[in-house]
Amino acid sequence: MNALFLAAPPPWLSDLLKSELLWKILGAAAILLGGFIVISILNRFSLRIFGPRLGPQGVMVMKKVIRYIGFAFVGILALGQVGLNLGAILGAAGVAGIAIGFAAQTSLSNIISGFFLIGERPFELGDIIEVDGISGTVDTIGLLSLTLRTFDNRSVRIPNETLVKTNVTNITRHPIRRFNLDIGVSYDENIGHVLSVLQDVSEQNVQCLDEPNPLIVFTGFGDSSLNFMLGAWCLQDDYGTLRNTLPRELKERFDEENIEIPFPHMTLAAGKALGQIPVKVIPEDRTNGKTP
Amino acid sequence: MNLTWDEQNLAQGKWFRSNAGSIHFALLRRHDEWRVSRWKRQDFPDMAEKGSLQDLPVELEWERWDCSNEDLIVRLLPSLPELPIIAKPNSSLTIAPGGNALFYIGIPTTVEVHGQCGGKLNKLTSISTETLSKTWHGDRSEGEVCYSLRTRARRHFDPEDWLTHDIIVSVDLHNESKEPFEFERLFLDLGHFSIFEHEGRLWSNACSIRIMEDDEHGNDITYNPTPLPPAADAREIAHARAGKAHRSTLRRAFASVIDVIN
Repeated sequence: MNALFLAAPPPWLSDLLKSELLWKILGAAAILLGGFIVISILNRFSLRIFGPRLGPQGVMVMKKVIRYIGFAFVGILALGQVGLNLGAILGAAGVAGIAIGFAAQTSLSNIISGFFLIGERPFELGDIIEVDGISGTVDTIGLLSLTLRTFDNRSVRIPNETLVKTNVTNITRHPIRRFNLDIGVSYDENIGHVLSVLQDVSEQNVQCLDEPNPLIVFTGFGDSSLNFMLGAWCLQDDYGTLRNTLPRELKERFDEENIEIPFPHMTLAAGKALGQIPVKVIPEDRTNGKTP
Repeated sequence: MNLTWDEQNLAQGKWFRSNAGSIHFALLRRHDEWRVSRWKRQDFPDMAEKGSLQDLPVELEWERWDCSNEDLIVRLLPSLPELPIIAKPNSSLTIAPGGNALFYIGIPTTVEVHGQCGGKLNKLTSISTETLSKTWHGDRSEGEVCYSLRTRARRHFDPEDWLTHDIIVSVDLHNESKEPFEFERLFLDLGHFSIFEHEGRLWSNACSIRIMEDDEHGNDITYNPTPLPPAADAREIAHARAGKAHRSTLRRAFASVIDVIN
């Protein structure tokens, strides 16, 4: 063993060991490795502290931010270790940054909007939301955009800026929801009787919650019908079923009770001020004995 | 309700039929399977109570569970609904300060079918004797889903006055506040109630609730180990789902939080 250490290293190795560049490269590698470990620890540590407050989408974005900023910082340090002139690089990066900033205004706006959304948390992963008439489940939330999975399984990318600017409806934020059903009945029907039938149907429906009480309102006199609104509360999971069962049960009950659901009536009239329709009688001889 | 709550042997190719309320069901042992079919009374009105394969209507639809050739034991067990209930008396009753009132409430039974699988009894399915409608206990942002139960909240026990598939729960309310208490609704978590059988009827252990000044901060609920007389010496056939408890606090037992908020 001692003979190995005592023997003189080959000339190429001694040259390499004397070279300053080797030690700079090794130093940079150590910085990169150490930086990677520190970023991982920092990521875990901050997730443990801030994770519960930020929610799943905040965690996702925070991970990315720590990683990008951390790697940029470690990269700069490593380049400095190798001996590159950081001032010149940063200066060039600054000039490039201005140019890129102008070009990437929209992206920056989306990133900043993303931070607002994380702070405000109007929705979370898995929520069903409606944005600009598009409804779907929140699939991913990124730095620039959100991905919605629609009910017919399409994937819609919505920029974060749009989410900040427009109305976003979170459909599943609360555990219960109301299904509103507008219905019209004939003018011959008794309003009190119709109200009691609506109450009874909502009580019999299995998905309709007893509390909060269903909202049953006579909404007014329509063109062809007396109009009512039945607002039935249900669990979020039961909403689809209630939408199917309640109108069907209501129609069946109306049929049993002989309550008529009218369709719009339209009276056609000719001429000005509904005057008599002029009729011209043609004498028989002018038609050669033939009646038209 | 013609149910036996003890373990039974069901030989290969044999079946029996039972009913709970308007629901009828048959349990069949065939090949290496347990099979259960359920239907409304009017669908097969003339069906025998037991028999062999050729006696079964072919129209029956079956649910199936795998078991081994030696598994022949089956047991039916009554259970209370999975969700808590909100019991609402048809007409409210006011209890004076310092007064108490004993109520009997009938809760529809759920019949659990347990079949032997690999030598051990496993729950195969549950058959509800009545479909209870759901209700919400809490505000519109947070709360708990419950079953809604309209009750006559009878003050005396008359054996003829009860449906055979109901589990009779006695609730003794003590008004220890300084104000008269109007009993309009009661939130009841059913997890600590065991089920007992007495003379063909099902009972739960009795409970008593002390109504304090502020419903928001809790009312004491005490669980008796047994039902009240005449079922005090009843046989326990199903243990409490959430284990036995002697005493606990029941927050918002009577308030409809929704009404309070509105």
